[in-house]
Amino acid sequence: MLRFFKSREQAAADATLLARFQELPSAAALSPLFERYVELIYGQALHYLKDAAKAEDACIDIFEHLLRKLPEQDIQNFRPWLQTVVRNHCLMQLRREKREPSQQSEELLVHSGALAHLLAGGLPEEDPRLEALKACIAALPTEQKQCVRLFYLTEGQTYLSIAEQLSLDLGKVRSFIQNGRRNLRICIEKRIKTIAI
Amino acid sequence: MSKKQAHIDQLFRRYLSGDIGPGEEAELEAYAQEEEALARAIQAIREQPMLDHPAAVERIKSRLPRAARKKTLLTYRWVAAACLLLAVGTSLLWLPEWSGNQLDDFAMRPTESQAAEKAIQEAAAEDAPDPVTPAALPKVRAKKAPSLPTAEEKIEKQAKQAPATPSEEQLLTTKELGAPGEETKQQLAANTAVAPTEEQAEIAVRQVPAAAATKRRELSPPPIPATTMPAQDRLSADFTQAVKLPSVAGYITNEEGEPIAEVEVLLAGQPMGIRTDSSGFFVLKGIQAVERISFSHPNYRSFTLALGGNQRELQIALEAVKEEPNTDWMLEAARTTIYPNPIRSFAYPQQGMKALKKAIVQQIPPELRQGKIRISFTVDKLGKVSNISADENTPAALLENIGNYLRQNSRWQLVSDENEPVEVSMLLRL
Repeated sequence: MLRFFKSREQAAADATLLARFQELPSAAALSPLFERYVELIYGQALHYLKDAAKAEDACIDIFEHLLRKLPEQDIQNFRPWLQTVVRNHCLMQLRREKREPSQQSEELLVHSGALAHLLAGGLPEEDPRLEALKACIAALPTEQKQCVRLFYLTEGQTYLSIAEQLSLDLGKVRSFIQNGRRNLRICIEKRIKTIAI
Repeated sequence: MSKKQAHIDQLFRRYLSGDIGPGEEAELEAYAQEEEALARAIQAIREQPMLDHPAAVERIKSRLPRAARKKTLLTYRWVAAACLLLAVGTSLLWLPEWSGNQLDDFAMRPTESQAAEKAIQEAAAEDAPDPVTPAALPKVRAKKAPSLPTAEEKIEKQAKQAPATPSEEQLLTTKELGAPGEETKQQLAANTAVAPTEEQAEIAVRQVPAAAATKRRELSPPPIPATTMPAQDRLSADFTQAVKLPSVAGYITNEEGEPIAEVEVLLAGQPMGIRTDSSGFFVLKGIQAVERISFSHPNYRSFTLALGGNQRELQIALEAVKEEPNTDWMLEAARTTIYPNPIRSFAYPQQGMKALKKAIVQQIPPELRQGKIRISFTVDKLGKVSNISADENTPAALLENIGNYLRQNSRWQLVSDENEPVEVSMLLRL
């Protein structure tokens, strides 16, 4: 029981936390492990269920599911097991609501990195893509232009810092940057007809 | 957990909170190529960028049902206080506590403790003709209405009357079982509330059978003279270890060996019974002079078992009456056949219940096959089968055929802590 008094700010391995929980199954023992993964669980649930409130509820359900099932399992690798559990839980819920699981779309996922690379000067001056890029950025609507410039072209910026600077919501900043990226891509592709971003 | 994974998780946390720059975002995307779950999570954030995700995560954390770790010391003190209160509470039980009562249908004036005392003695003398009506409950409580010493004297007097003793236990039995619906509410109340009101104390005693940690419903009437027993019972998971009461326990499964929850287990002659928990497990403690147990459930054919002297561990398969929707069972992410009750024994054939039954049926010569039969046998700790029997209508040749097959060809595993042999009862469709 003494471990309850220990500070939880230790970088204990998953396996250690898991073992502790299995020795003495209690909500308090499961919390450190769960909180380590809560963001990922929430993200996954959100992806499947599309609704933040539902995702929150799903996370609580998953916690309770873990509380019940974990003591009985012999798990070698917690991370993939957890991901399967989350996935199955969400799919089961979707099935109950008779909805189809969404398809993964490429568009949203792999773009920030490519754009950052481009903008960080990965191209020689004469590259036509760079020309197109500059022109397209100039063509963006104001807020998107501002955010994209700040984020990608200024050193050391984060979403939070931009939000602060422009007195905007974090969500808005995210939205502007994403839409800006999308518009850039469309614009550049129109101009060059080569993929890249 | 490797450093890399910790780093990835930390990156994602920062992505969620917005405290991330373009280079790190690119790094996160690269990791997402390798880990699908991460990719999905990132995509979810991007699909709904306007939502306040950090707030959502905070809400989740605050909703987690846990004892806040910051307050672990306090939790400890609560637990200690609760134990102390339980001890105090049991002694408070013997004090008059008619105020604030939840049961309405009393058979006598609640406030007249004199009359109550008389009623107890009369009831004991009559050997408590109807132990399970709601009237029994107030009778039992009335027993506790007078002050502590007198009540104990009376109880001891009653205990000396031999025929009264089993009924005493039965009274307590039914009292403990009474109003199962209120249990959960009151359990919460009993766990969280600290105020030592008499009502709470009584509720706490009623919660004695329901161990705080599990949802299992166990019947555990404490022996009458020992008033401190309830406190122990509350704290220890298995009471039967401490007190040697004869008990019967076991698992109820369907024909495939999967557990059935909420099967009503009734002792013959008593309308109140116990229900199996989600792993199909039940325990009946303090069984004396009871001969028949019946098992019933809306989806299954009811089954009654005559208890012999030696049967203590049971494993009964029930026959389905209509289609059992077992989709939830199937959809569990990680399905195992280990049942979470290590204290009791569970017998499982090596090849699986389904395969075993198929094999048995297949090797029966065609002329012996008719309808279905239910066979019972004992599996001991070495996995050996013995004591094979079926009901009277079974032809002897059939029984011998199945018996031989079971003895020679089936290998059983006994999952058990106590190495008690298990009495298995299964249904074969021929």
